[in-house]
Order: sequence, then structure tokens, then C-alpha cells
Amino acid sequence: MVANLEHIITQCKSQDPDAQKVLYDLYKDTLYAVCIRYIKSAHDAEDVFIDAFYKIFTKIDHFKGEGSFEGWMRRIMVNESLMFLRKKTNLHLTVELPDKEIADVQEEEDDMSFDDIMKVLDELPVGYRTIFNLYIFEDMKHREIAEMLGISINTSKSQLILAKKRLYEILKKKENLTFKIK
Amino acid sequence: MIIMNINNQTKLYKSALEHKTSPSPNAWNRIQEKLGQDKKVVKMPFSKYMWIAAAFIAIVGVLTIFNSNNTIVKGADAMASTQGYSEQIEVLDINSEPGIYEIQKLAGLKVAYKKLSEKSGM
Repeated sequence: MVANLEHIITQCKSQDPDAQKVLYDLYKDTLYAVCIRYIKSAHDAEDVFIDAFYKIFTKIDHFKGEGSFEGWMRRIMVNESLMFLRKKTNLHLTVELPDKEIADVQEEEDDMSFDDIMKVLDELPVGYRTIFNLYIFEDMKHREIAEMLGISINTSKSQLILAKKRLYEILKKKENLTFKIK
Repeated sequence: MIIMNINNQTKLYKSALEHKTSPSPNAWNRIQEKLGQDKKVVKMPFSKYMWIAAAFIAIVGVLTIFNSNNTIVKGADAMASTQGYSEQIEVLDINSEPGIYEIQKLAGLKVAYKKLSEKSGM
């Protein structure tokens, strides 16, 4: 599989359309899932996904084989999604929060499944959602997130705590509703 | 349903890696369209423009030098020829016998004038 992938990458570097299609089919579902986690509208997410895949094909020469190829593609998807969010929403402003508020926020310790999170992720404000995605799903450190978004480390931390709290509240509300209906 | 603690980031991260959602079937066509447009508009790198400009300047330069040399040579030829024919003309002593020309000398004079006019481009 690895050798096969290397062959596909080499062919894609020569702009071979058949190899491009094979690569697309292999990763389309995984990479589209990245975009859809950041961008609420499926239509916008698909536009970003297309632009990012186009970038993958045209910049594939930049991949020197260091690290995982999938990781490299995911990073392109994430960057394109963030670029879109910066253009469409004022991402910098939406994630700003005074540092003193961190102390007031208690982290929720309750269990939440991945499926549960995915169900309510859309309901989070764009700033919370972005930091939650970067920290939890992309496994990035607060320092990296702060650099990427141009915010302070404390803002990144507080936004993550608030995002978790909001997610928990939304889930609780939904559970109560289900209970009442039953 | 996979139950996990929110703090258990490794598990959530792994779930995210495995998470899959399909784009619309039209997405691939749109990517192909973009790639096709890119192939149609063949972007020429700046260095190529520089090469074309350099080649053009070189050609114009060579032509200019060649043309100017040619003009100098032509001019020199014309001068030399004019002098030669002038000498020939001078040989004809028309003052010695005014109004009377030998037919052979007259023919020679005609040819000399013809050649002179051809060489000097008159």
C-alpha cells in the first residue's frame, strides 16, 4: 500500500490525470470530513475542499516525503478552511476573549462521544469551533494555535474551555428534550 | 457509539482521522475543470520572457551592425567605382575634337555612365 501510494504520488507529480483520480478517490472522504468540521455550510465546505485539492495537485512537488502524506494533505485542508473563515468571518475577533475570564470557566469532565460532538459542532460559534477542531481533532498545541490564528495562548486556552462547556450544555439540553419526549 | 471522555484527546483525534464524509459527485469534475484551465493558460515564467527579450535585442543589434557595415561598403564601392569611371571619362578627350566623337569611344562612354548610375544607385 505504501509503495503503491509512493507510485501514485510520483505519477501525480508528473500531472498524470489517472493517478490524480486514484489519489482523489483514496482520500476524498477523509479530507472532505476535515473541511466540513470547520465550515458550517456544506456548499462552502465543498468549495474549500475543491480549492484545497487543486492546491494538493499543483503543489505536490513541495511534498518531499518527510512525514505522512495524508498529514500534509490534511494540513492543506485545514489552512484553506482557516483562510476561508478569515475571509468570510472576522475569525480573529470571534476568538478574542479577555484572559481574566479563564479562571471563571470550569472545564466539563463529562463523557462526550465523537458522534455526539459531531452532531452539535455546527451549533458552536465559529471561534470556539475552530479552536476545538485544531486542539482536539488536529492535535495541535495552544502555542501552535495561537501562532496560526494570531491570538494569545491564553485566549486559545479559554476558547477551548468555553467550547467544551458550550458543547456539554447543548448536549444536555438535547438529552433533556429527548427525555421529555419519551 | 464510541463513548469517551472529552479529555481523552487521543481517542477523539483517532476518531477524527477515521471520520469520513463524501463530497458531491460533481466535486471531481470541478477539480478537473480547474486543472484543465491551468493547462490551457500556459504561464510563461519570467525568465522565459527575459530570454525572448534578450534574443530580440541580439537579433536587432546584429541586423543594425550588418546593415551599417553594408552601407559603408556600398558607399566605398560607389566612391571607388565613381573614381574609376571618372578616370575612364577623363581618358576621353572631348576637348581635342569638339563635336566629333568616335563611335567606339562614345559606346564606351555610354557603358561607363550606365555602370556608374547603377553602382551609385541613381
